Amino acid sequence: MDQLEEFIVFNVCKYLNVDELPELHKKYVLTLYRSMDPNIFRGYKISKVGPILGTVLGNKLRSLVREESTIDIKEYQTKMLGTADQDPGLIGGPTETDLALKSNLDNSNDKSININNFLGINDLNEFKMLFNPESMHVHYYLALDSNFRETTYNDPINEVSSSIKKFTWKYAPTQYTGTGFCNSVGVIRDVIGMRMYQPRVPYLAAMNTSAKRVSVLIEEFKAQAFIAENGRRYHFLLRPNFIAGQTSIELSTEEYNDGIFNFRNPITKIDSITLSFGDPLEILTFSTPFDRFMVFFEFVCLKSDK
Amino acid sequence: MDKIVSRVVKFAEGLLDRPLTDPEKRNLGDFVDANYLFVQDKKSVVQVAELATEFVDTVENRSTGDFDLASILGINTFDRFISEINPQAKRKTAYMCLDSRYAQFNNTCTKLTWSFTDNLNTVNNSTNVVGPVRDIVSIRMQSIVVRKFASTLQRATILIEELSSQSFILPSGRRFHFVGLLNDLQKPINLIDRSQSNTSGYIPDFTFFDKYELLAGYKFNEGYYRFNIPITTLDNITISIGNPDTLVVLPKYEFTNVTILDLQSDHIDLELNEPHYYISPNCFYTGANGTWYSVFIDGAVTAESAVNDYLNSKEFTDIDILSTTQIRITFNNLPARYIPNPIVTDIIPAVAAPWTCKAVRFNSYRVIMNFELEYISD
Repeated sequence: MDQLEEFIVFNVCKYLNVDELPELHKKYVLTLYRSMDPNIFRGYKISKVGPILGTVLGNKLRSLVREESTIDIKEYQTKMLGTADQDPGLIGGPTETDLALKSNLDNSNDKSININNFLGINDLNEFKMLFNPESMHVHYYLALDSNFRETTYNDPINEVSSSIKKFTWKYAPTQYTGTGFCNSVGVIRDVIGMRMYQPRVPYLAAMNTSAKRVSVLIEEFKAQAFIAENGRRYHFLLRPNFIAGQTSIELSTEEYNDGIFNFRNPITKIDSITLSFGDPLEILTFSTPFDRFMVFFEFVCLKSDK
Repeated sequence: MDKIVSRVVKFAEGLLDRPLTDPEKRNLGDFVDANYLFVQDKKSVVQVAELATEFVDTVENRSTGDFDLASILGINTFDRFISEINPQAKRKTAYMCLDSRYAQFNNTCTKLTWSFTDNLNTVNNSTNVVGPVRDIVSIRMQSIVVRKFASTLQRATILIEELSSQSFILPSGRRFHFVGLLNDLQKPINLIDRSQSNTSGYIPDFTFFDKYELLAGYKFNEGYYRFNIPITTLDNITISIGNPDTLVVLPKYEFTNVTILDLQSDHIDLELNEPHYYISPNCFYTGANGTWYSVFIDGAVTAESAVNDYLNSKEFTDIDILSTTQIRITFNNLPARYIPNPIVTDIIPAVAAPWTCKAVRFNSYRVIMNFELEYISD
């Protein structure tokens, strides 16, 4: 009995939870083991094959002992060896079984496989999100018109004609077009980015600070925004183009990220849009009348089946 | 047989050092059914070991052997795989030129329509693109030059009516796809300052006089509108331009069936068969108001062949708007100061009626609109 066979017997003992097998049982186990084609285990680690054989051979031994009170080892040996002698696998060549199975596999018409799990990904959308996230994007467009802003909120900071700090529009996809609303085709949700078209807004002298910048914040999204030292938050920092005598002013997006802001976490739902402007750190106050203005957005959202 | 299969499963799981997946278990059952006859004369433990090891070999060798990938995550065709994973690879671009000369105008000249054809046969009111274009996923507008209009917002909205189901929506009800900044061609764009035009002074050059260029570049989403649902078919293209929610009048380029009301040595009066929407004055230059257009007469026939040649070969620029359907072309010499381009210098004799005229063309405000269409190819 070589080391390998001792290892097999050891594993059988371990499986059966005994210290040692009776000689008769040991011979039975080894007979079964020797009847196997050694090539079938080629390529597998002995540390992996050993316990498996221990389990299988142990079960075989256990069932045999249960079925028969005594084992005629000679009869078994004769039977096993006689059968095994007819199999060239015992002397190292391919067994009949190998050839037959291989032939059977080669002739199989079903050589196709279906991958339902790819590196742990089993959902197509998840796969697309990782490999080509842009394919999961949809675009929605929103226009805000100052003439149609919401002016009936009770919050006094919103709409006192001499002190307008925020402009609000309620959001309704395609219903309720009219005063107080902004609309879009399709429901804007799961927003991951937005691009503001260059706005032209009423001019305020307070915009002309040493910073020469105007900040724009969408209040509803302020959880993800720039944060200034004084607490002012904003999404866009734009350059006002001062032209003497004009009552409206272009806020240039050029060279300021082209009006793009990307969110780290998707904005799942929009009920309203509230704009505020800063100088850039202090919020700007508008008073009526002022020039009508419009602000346009493209929202980039995740495709959703909700 | 089930007992054998369950034992082979356990053996194989041991060899693989992982549980078999459900598809693998199903395959294993088939595998045992197909191969049991080759091991049936052996002891059951040998059967189990050999079937299991062969099956495990089969599973493991699949990663290096030849096989057909039938599906991945439910995608079972390569075409769909590309569409889902890299749709950009399936996209092509087509370019469309819309010329107001060949457009069909509505009665108020606020909507221009072309027939959209994907071949090169040019017919009336058609626009042509190369190849079949369907399943349009985005359209990019290039800059458009139009007649000036008063605008506080300094923004124009451009709509393709047939695609209005996916568009911006203004609370006023106006829909649009593109936003254009009004760039006054008399005060060409300045990278520092983009502003309203300064209409003082005189530069009656028809190439840039009284014209806005509608810019939809990097400040306006690069001119793109992306459709979430591809536009499957497009038979007509109707364009309207808003200011931003009031429709802008785009004067017609060509008027046919024109009547010559009067022909004198210094002028010709023409009656158009529909309102022309040209205005007077359209020009403000130092010292006086004026009306200056670039007008051509086609197919004028009089008793004098020299007059015919004259009328049908000149560009006329000094125009009076007599009414909503009548114009007067004055034949005179003007100082070069006012008209930089060469103009009429000859004075023709008066010719007695009858006269006929086939068409009058206003070259001043011919609008050329270019669009890039991105679509999903077959």
